[in-house]
Amino acid sequence: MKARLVLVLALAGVVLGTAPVDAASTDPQDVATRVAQEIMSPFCPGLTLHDCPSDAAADLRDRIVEMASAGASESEIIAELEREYGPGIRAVPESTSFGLLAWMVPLIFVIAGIGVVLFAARRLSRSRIPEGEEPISPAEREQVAREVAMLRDERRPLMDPTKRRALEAIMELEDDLTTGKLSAADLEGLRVRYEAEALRALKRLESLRIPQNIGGAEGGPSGRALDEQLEAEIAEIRATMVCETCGDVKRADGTCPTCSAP
Amino acid sequence: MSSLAALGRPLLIGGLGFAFCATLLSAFGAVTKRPGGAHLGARALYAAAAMVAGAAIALLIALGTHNFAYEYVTSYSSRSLSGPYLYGALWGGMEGSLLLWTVMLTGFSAIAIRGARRRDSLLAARATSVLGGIAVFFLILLVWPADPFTTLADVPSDGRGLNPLLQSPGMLIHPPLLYAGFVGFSVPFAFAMAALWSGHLTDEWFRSTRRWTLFAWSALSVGIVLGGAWAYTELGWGGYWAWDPVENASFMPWLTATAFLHSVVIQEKRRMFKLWNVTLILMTYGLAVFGTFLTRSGILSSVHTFTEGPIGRWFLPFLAAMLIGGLVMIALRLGPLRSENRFDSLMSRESMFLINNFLFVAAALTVLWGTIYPIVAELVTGTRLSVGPPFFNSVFVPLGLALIGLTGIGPLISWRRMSRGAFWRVVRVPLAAGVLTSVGLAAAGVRSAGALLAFSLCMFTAVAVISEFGRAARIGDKAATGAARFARTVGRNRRRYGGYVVHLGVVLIVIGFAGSAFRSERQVLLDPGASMAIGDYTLTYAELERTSTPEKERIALHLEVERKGDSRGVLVPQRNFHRAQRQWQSEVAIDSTPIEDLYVVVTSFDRDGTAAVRAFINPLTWWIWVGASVMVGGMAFIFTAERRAPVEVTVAAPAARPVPIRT
Repeated sequence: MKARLVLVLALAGVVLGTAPVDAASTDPQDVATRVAQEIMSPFCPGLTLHDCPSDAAADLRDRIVEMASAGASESEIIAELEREYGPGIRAVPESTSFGLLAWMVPLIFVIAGIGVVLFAARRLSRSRIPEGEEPISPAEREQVAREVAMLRDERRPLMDPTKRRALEAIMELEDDLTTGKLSAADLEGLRVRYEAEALRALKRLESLRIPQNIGGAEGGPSGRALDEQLEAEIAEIRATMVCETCGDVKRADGTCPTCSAP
Repeated sequence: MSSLAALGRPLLIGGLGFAFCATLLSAFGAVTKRPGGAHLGARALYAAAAMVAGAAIALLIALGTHNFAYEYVTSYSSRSLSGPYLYGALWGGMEGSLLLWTVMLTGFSAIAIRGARRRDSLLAARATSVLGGIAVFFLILLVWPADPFTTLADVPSDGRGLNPLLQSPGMLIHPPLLYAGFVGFSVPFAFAMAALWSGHLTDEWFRSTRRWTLFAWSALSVGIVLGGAWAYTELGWGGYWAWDPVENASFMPWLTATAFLHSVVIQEKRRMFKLWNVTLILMTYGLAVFGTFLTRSGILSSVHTFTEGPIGRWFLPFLAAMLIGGLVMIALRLGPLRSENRFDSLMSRESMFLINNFLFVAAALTVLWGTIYPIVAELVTGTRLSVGPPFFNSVFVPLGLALIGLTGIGPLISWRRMSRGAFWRVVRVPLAAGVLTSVGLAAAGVRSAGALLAFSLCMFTAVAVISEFGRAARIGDKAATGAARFARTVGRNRRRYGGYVVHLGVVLIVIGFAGSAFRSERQVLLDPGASMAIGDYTLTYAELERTSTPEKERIALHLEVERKGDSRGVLVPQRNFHRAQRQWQSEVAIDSTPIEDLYVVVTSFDRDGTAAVRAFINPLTWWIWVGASVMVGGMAFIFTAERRAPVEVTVAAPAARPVPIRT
């Protein structure tokens, strides 16, 4: 409650702080500067009169200062210049007829964009995965936790992307709990989902480990499936070749050349 | 030596031939799954790259030896031009710029394909075909309508020289960086198209081109900032960004590319936004090409007239083919492009990325609309109407401020889901900092609502990003020290924390932009010995100095500067008359501090020595250049992560996985 009050006061502070707006200066030089920023230079393509470096532009800027000194207002000066040089001299289209379209289109982009974002968010947030699909045993949970710990210690340089993604998700959830971005209740709900995902990946990898019938005979893997199996096996074997302490590649006898861990 | 330049045109024609072969052979190899074809295609691409590089060297030799038999050398260089500017004339004109563009295109393609062939040779073969096709287009331009090796019947004794505005250090780096940015995006574009073509839409296409995307984006970012710095120090109107069509042409692809950089994170992490990501890269490359079309065709008036030429109309069919081809391929692959995942909650980082993408794309479309509006208006009403900086500022600033706010909120929100309580816990400190900034500045007399909002959002975002670095020290081994945990977390997540550093740079840049709300200027005719006042400064006309060299006549005004009675030394703005171009040009003098820049330019001198002086006070502009440097630091940090990106092995992928071709 106290927090809400602070928030309300804070917002009030912003509103009060930003409310006063500076009244436009009537110094002829300032009026001339504002006018020069509102019209395109007849002498330099694509630049406002204010930004145009040509001598003719400097003369026209001087003339505008004289007009302002004689008491002409900004809109009077712009109207006078429009009579002289045509409607293309206005750097800002007038909000009438076709000029209005210049202003409407960005607004349409924004409104359409908000519509698309809301639509996408609603569509994408419908949950496809049922909550708590298969109960996870404590042993399985332990297995996933071990995998997460190994990932955290960078002991697995090569890994199946589905498994890696699920393990990273769990790691991030734990980190978000540590940094206070996630409540314990949120963590539990989400954790179950990613643990289940990680387990599915682990089980799939395990099933790939025992090739039953190499060579494409009945029931066995063939062609591409075999390639994938082999790649998976290689990935997992390479992972076991890496030292669990320092991450270096182990010797043939299983000891580490860097930290001598067995 | 000079006769070596004669090899230029044959090399370009050879390059065109090889690029053509690369396109066809790689396509054949990929479609028929024949490694030989793909292998030959890649070799042809390397050969094309070598030949185009050779042609560029030939043009550099022609420039270096003052071979005025070539029209290009006559038009953009002279005998008095020397050192880096003589060779920088390579991109001083349209034909040379296009040659540089093509050197980069074929060179980048060769490097990218060489790396990618080791990872997935069939994807690389398809990408070779796409990149070869793009190279064919640019080489056709170079061989026919924009030939840099056109010779003159009457060889003049000297050239017309390089536009004096282009003779500045910024101009030596700015155009090549922008080209590197534009061209760099052809690599991720080609791989996205290759992935669509194969139907094998895993993450491989953006993983194998991630460094290119980042490189192209970084080059474009730095190129844009350097362009601003060049305008600020050379053009003499006291500003750095004029919403000129050519500036917009570089800014639009930057906006969509920034959206893309953020949204691939979602695809990587959550396997979502696949359709959106290929659309974004198509949009980015399409806008880069469209921007080139706008500026080369002369269809819009721009200060960058030195890049105009007869080749604009060639870009329209190319752009149309690219966009239609891309959209058809996307439409054919809607199935595999479906998201494999769902949002866990609307209150999540994923949603923030979605809003970020909406804002960037809305901003890009808004800039596009403002840029083409004069053409649309003329087509519809028959009258030429203009949209200038005031229009762009009023439509763009709200979107920009929303993006700055989002830069702060985004990183605070956790992936997947966040409860309101947790959100409040992480947001209250940055929010309080933002509010205090606003209140403090208002109390100190700042009265511009826009500037107050901008400064508070900047403070909010800066504190939010810094607090994320603070949280990094809490993650990890409980037994370790905070510093060790910080180093480990940041070291392991270099892309994320490098990104945060880039965000801090952006905040500093926005502070610099917001300072322009307090800009003031004075234009005075100053007699010798007289003084003028602007802000807290008094400028006194001390002396006039005239010097003359074979290239130019220089008139320098020595102005003694005092701030609140304390001397700040002498500023020396100049007017130079460039003899070769018979053109006057002002040289700006700037006294830059973190608080404000005193910016002085002389627009003319009278015979009696009276000087027309334009002086500006530009508050906080200094922070733009500091912010850009911080951004570069962040980018460099991200690159160190890219080197150690883990190799992924796909196991039991459901779709067809191409069998690697051994070469």
